[in-house]
Amino acid sequence: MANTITTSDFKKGVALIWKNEPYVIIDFQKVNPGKGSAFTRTKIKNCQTGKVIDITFKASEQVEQADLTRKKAQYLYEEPNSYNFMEQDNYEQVSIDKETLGEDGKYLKEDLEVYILYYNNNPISIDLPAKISYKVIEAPQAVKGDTSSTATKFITLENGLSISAPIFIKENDLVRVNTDTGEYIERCSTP
Amino acid sequence: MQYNTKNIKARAKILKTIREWFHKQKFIEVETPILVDYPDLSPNFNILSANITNLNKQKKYLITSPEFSMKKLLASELDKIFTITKVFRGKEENTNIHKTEFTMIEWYRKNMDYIDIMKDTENLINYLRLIKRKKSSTTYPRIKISYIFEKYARIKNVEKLSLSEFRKIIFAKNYSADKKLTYEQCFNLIFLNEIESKLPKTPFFLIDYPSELACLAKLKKNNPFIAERFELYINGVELCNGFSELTDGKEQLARFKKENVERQKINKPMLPIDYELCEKLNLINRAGGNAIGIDRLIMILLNANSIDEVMLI
Repeated sequence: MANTITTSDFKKGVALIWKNEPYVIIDFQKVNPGKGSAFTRTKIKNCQTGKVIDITFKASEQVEQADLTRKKAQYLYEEPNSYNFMEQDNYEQVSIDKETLGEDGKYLKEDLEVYILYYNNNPISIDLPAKISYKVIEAPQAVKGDTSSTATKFITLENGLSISAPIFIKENDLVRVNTDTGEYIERCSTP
Repeated sequence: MQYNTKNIKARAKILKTIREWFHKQKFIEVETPILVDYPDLSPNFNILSANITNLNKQKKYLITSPEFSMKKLLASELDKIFTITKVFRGKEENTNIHKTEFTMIEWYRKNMDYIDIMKDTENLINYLRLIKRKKSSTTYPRIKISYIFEKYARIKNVEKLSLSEFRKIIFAKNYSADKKLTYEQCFNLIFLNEIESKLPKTPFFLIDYPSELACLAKLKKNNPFIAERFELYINGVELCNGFSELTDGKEQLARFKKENVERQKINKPMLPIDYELCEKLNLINRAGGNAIGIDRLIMILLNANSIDEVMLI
């Protein structure tokens, strides 16, 4: 029998099962509708798809806890349909389908350290660092005469990722990227 | 704590204007007790009690609303009464729109029903908005509960569902697995999960609640599944609870007894029944009334983000 928790155990980051899929609580609030009983309005994020939904539970509802584990791993290489990592505590290689990682896959670069999230011992997603630095391998010259400070251009990074960046960025620069939004943050001198 | 003097002054002005509006309509302001012998029996309420007893060594309770005292007064010669009072709800968590202790304006009109009281509510709020130089008088749409349940949750004739049918729907939708769900919990699990977020942000009345959700309200003459109850929503916040009052003392007594049975089922203490109220209800022919959470109303009028900004708590 799986472990259950009640709404009074709810905390940000607690994992639970909703309609057979694992979710993590990202926010919750108690509500008392007029003359009604107590409920807990909960914002939960699907561990696999990242989709956020709102579910309101009755206070003290029993909810199944999700068996989730997080392991530190290093990104190794890409294959046509998967990404390959190495778990850092036992050097075991783990392969995750590209489909499973979705958009997160495009931020991977060799030797990047990530956390792999396992649900019932199957890898379902990765936690990327919030910011990652990349070497610029392609940065076209800015159009002459375009001197406005907000002007941007597309640059290509070492892992093939293409982002929009300010026009002063040159090849071989290091730039930091927000892995949540995919946006350029800053130029940096060290990774 | 840091007091927000600007909001204290604005609150004072709103309270003054509310009283002004009621006096203009020839209402009598009454001061009702906060400590009472007979609290509301609603199974969902956790009634706070004071550490004092009356001469008969009975416990004193803090009111959740002044309703019982107001109705007893209505049985006298008074026709139009209002009160502004503090009320208390135990074990309800403080949030940005709710506090354990809050202020309520409650009023009653004899020989009127919920249609008239909705009109009052609109007129009062329009009057308050005028002093804020906001939009002039508007009418708020009346939306029936059965309509929104069918439209957003695809549940037809929600008021006619039996408890076991309602539970089945909840289990199928995975909102709960609790075999002891009450009717009110089933109703609110659907309302909170599938309906509330889709309702307009502009003001509207929700009307005609299932009879199970209105212990003190009158049922519709031609449809005993529906109670003549309404709530007003502004900016998605529930502001009031009003209805055509149940004035049949015998029926009221039966409903109170049923509530005590419900309380027992969920391991809450049974509470003393106000027999005097039940008797006096028979002296009232027809009446309508409403209670507005004043702090929420002030919050909306002042565009505050949290109830703390407009309360001294």
